[in-house]
Amino acid sequence: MKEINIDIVNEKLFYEKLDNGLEIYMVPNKKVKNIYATFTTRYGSIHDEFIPIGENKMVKVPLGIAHFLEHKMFEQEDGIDPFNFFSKSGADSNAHTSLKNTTYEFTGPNKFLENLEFLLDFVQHPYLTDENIEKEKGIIEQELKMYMDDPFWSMYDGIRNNIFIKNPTKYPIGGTIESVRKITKKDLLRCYKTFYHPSNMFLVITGNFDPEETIKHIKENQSNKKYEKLTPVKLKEYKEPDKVVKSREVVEKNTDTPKLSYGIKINLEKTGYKDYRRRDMYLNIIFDLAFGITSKFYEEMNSKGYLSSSIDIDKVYTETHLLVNLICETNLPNELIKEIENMINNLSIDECELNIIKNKFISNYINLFDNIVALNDTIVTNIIDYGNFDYNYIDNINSLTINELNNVINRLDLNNTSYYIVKPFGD
Amino acid sequence: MEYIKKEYAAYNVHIIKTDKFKSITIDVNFLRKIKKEEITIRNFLSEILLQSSKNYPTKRLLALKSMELYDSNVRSSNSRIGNFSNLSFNLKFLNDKYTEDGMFDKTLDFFFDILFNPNVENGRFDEKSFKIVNKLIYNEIKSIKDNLTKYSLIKMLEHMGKNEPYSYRGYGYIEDLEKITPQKLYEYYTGILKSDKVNILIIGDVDTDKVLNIIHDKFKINTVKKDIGNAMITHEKVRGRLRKVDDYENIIQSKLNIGFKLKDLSDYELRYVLPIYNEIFGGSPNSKLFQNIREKHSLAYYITSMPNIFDNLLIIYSGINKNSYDKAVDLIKKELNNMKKGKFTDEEINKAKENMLASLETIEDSPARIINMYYARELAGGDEIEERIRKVKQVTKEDIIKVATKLKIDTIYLMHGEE
Repeated sequence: MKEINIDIVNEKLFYEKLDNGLEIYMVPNKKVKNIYATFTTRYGSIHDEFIPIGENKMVKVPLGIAHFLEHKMFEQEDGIDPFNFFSKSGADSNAHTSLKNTTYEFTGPNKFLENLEFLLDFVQHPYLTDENIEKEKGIIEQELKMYMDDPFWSMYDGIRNNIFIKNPTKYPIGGTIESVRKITKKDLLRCYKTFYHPSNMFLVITGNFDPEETIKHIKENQSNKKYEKLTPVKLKEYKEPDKVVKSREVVEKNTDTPKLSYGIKINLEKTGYKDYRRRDMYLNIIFDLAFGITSKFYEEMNSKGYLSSSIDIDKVYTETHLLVNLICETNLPNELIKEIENMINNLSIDECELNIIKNKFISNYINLFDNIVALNDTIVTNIIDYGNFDYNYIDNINSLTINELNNVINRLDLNNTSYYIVKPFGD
Repeated sequence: MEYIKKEYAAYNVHIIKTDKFKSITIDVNFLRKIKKEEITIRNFLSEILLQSSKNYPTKRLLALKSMELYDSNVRSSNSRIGNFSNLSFNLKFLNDKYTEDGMFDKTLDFFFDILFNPNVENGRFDEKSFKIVNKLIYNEIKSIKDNLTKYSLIKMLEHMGKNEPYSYRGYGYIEDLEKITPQKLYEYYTGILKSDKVNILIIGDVDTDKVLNIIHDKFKINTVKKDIGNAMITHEKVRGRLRKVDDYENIIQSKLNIGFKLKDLSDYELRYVLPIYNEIFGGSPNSKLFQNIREKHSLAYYITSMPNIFDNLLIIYSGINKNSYDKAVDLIKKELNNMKKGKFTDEEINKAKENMLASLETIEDSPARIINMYYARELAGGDEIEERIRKVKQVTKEDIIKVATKLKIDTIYLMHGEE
């Protein structure tokens, strides 16, 4: 087991990779009582075309399978309902699916090792029948309908659909009611076997536990299970164009406050970075400082009365492109769009502000180590996005310079944009 | 962990000294009896004090300063706690150990400056800031429909008691917003400093005497506060027959909510038995509602029940297809009856208890939860954690059945979606 010191906060990260390929990341914290464990597969809604394990041809499966599997894992053959098992020791359990991963989790201060073993066991043991699959469709249909009624949710889905041409990032994470109805047991098993292989998964544990003892249990648990050797899953690669599908769309919804989502599609390869983490730090900073609460833009838009809310700056990274999504509420979308476009064409960041925002990132990072849930979630997204956790984060943040940042700005192609307006019915 | 409470005529200070956390959290609460027509102005005040201050006259300058102070973010909120309205300002910042010497003093200065040195000229809040916040608040009030779960809930509560605090809209009201001027807002602000009950809670690795000195020095409040009564809402009467309410919105999914007014529950029942009842009945994925309405009959994605002890209410909320309405209501009623008949196992009781115990055992993991616990005790009394653990363990099946028999449906509410 590898031990990595995180000096600034005086904490340790433990890392181990098992023979079957499963990776384990652990950050113990003896000052709290609770423990939080997450078990993640690098499999999310975007992985809908791939070569299944044991096959040799690329297949395309219906949208929404990753999410469907997440639901179905909570049904177990021997009748032990995972929620039920965890609650016996007062632990909470849950799961969620995103674009790039599916994560199962539990949190609770008692019977940790039993719970951890159960987490491994239930996620590594699917129980799918035609009957229980049909039953789940009704539940998922209600879930999708709930999202469809949410004006913000429909805006996030809408802008991705209009920005991406080929990349499956364009589709809703849960799929559509129609695609979910088409899902069969064969589809689910194929995806499960391919993507729930231990070498495609990792465990992250934070809180009050003993790493040595924990790793011993995990090893024992895994050695009892047989997996065939897996070469890395072959995923379909998409030649995503720089263009967008359409540059504007206006929809009507059951809301009283008009909303705008302004998307900028940025080709990441043109930034010339091999170090994606560093590239993304710059990109995040550029847009946060340009449109965020400390920006002159935000101040001016407020003075002009163009904004009725703050601006949320959402970033969706794909292999080839970044979608920067500016979301806000406004009664004057057309005026605001003009201002945003003007700002995009004149992006510039003040050195002073770059230095100030570093303080914010440093503080956020240190605070993570007080919060086992936030820390765990950050480790998971770091592994998904960059393959590991950044324990040199503070040094990396401090090494960012205004010159390098300006170079990034100069290389950005900001010409491909799309906006999505949600209006009240009949407005 | 060491807890010290100091009571002064004008405010109380609660200091929780612990080296568990890398940050220091400070919460300043202004409390008074709630009035419906004051909700909007209190929301306005909570926003405008963070919009600008005398020393940082725009939001941008204020935000830059807080970022410079290692993201010493001041947050504010105005919320209802039973009969009370609580206006709260919260600051979380890193201990000097992790930043620079002297940050503690600088950060507290910044915080108190926001509270006591607002952007005011000639007895009026700054016009520019006022306009911006006015727009934000207007938009927030109008946006209530965007969260349909919340919206359908508040619509039901308005039917259950139009003039009762539990039905007041937390975002406020347009007609009250229209009456607010920069001058009236300032008058309200000075009124709050004069007459609201003030509690300051601080948690972290701090020097107690130093903190007290800073507060005495900076906290410019010196009026004696009057008693404001009881936070807990009680219901004079409960309905003999349930009422059904229909509502219509242009939406896909229908929202089915059911409300109960709780009457004659003892303090022990409210704090210890009801939460266990709720876990078994509808409060968790193991509950009867989740297992039957969702897992067995796949009628809903979410169905949850939730008690509110301060309001003496129990609420069920769910999203269904409209044509499942009769079936869902029948199933819910059946489970209510099963609870009354004692059709639940010792295992279910134990799971519910373990859940409550785990929650109690982990309160001290989080600065926010520790502060909430002490503040809730300040407002409504209650036992210490150890005693609470003891009492949870003692709850019996008979206790739960007794609570079950006291529950009567007041209102069944349906917000109609598509056919």
